[in-house]
Amino acid sequence: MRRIVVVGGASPLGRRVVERMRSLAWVESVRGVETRLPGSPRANASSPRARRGRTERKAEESVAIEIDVVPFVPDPRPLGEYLAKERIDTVVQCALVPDRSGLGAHAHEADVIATMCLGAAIGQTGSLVRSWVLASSSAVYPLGSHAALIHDEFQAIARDEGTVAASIAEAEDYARESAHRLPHVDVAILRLQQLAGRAVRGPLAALLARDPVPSPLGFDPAIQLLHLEDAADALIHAAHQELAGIYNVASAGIVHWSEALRAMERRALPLLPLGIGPFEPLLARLGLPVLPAELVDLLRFGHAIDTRKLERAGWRPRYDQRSCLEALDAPGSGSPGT
Amino acid sequence: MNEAIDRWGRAPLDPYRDGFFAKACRSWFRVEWEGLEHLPREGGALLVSNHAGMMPIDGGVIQYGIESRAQRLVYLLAHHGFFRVPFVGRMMNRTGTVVAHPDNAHRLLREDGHLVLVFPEGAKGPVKPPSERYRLQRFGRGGFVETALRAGVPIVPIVLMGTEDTTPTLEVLELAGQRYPLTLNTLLFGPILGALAHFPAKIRVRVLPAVGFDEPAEQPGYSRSLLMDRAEAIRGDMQAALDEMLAARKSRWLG
Repeated sequence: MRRIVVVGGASPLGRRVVERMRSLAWVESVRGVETRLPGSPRANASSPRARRGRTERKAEESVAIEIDVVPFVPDPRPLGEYLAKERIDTVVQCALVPDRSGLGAHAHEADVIATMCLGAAIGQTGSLVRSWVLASSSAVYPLGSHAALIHDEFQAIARDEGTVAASIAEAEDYARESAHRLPHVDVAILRLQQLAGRAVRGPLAALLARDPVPSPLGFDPAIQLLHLEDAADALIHAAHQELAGIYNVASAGIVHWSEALRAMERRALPLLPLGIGPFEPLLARLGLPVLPAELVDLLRFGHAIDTRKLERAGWRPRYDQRSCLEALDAPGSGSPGT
Repeated sequence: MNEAIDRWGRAPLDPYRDGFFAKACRSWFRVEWEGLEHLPREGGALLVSNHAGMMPIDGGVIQYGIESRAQRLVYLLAHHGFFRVPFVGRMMNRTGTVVAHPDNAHRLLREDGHLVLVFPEGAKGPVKPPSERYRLQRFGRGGFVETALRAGVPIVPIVLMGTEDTTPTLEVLELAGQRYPLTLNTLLFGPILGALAHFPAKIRVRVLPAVGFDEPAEQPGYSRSLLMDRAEAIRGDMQAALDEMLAARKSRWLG
């Protein structure tokens, strides 16, 4: 029997992991943890002591999920005490996904600093944690005309300064450092492909859900989505098996942009894939169709990952690319992103 | 989902080569093949060929020839820069050309078991001076041998004669640090039409016996001397076959 916390438990993915885990026989207890309540202003990081140990519970509209608010950035001690008090043995971290575009400087805080503090909390005396599953992102792989189409876990990762990819890569570094420093903790880093689900959309899925779909003129990239249920499956599998190491996660298959549009019966709105940078938010605000700057390279050259390593460890995707696309059209999929 | 386009972006029916290009191969260049029996009937193999001409057609000649005669798909590897150009990259993907990346080549050869064509000379082939006509340039750094070893597939050398006479190079020009071949076609027909118009030289293609390896596949690395050694041996065999074909040729137009 395992006692589990899901950090980022209020995110669509975190919530789904908690929901699914509650019905599993090997789970004794599962709770969600957030540094602050969703929708509330950011927790005042300068006075963590005032809130230390204090927990708040909030019943969400759809399914009641218990979320404990534990401000652990930048001082990890409240979380360390929380983990010890609740006798937690497994931490699943879902705070890095799904959509961190537009976060700007906050991405660094959410990814790098939070992962660093989480690692510190797990390493505190009294912590019983022996398994840490980090939901990372396939965005760490290089993207561009010179890159391979399909990436496996052994590939060198992109570290262009200031990018979301570099921020995630740095967060992974802290998880790996913890794995090295705490040999009794199995650290699994799951690199998730772009999410698609009823309540959650990564940037790519958000673009595909529009009609007409802004499309790259003169390009037909190979893309890959990850169904929310497959993502939750993989995280639960990694926690259950106490996996260690890096694993890619995507739903089965690869689909090309033109095929995706045909399958969804969407019209394409061809746009020059230029990456107009600073003007993009302005144009988007004016209601003009744009290709999001962070997707331009993906929409020109395509990107996919090889998931066979996790399949060898016993996980199987239950959805293929077509069912990911269907999930975007499902009723109730109105709210994009987190 | 993927019944229409495979994961490399290739469409099953290829309108570009079943139409005009196929006719050009038959009637304009009168392509003749020998040694097709050296091609493996199944499983991956790395095809290597000599590369020359202003707008190289050699890849298309080999791809169309093997696909129509041996009923096996041939994928081409090309410099990634082509794939940055809108429409061009997409058309190349559709017709079975993939970015030349070692990982792409490995998956095509080992996972998909396809025939994959590379030009180890790279850009040095098309931009060589006229004095180097039908002389094979350095075969890169032997990377193609490493690709074949890693994938555990044989190398099949293919020699083309005639392609260098379809666009004869007169001089190599240097503009802003880049080298460009000035061809007779460009001089006569201008830069755009000259890049497309090819003289009707007779093209002969010879497939040489496959070169197999004893080294185990999927090793993290292979000895550099082994790679360069094998690369040079293959280049030597290809140059010898090309010299033999040139000696037997009576006319560059009639073969």
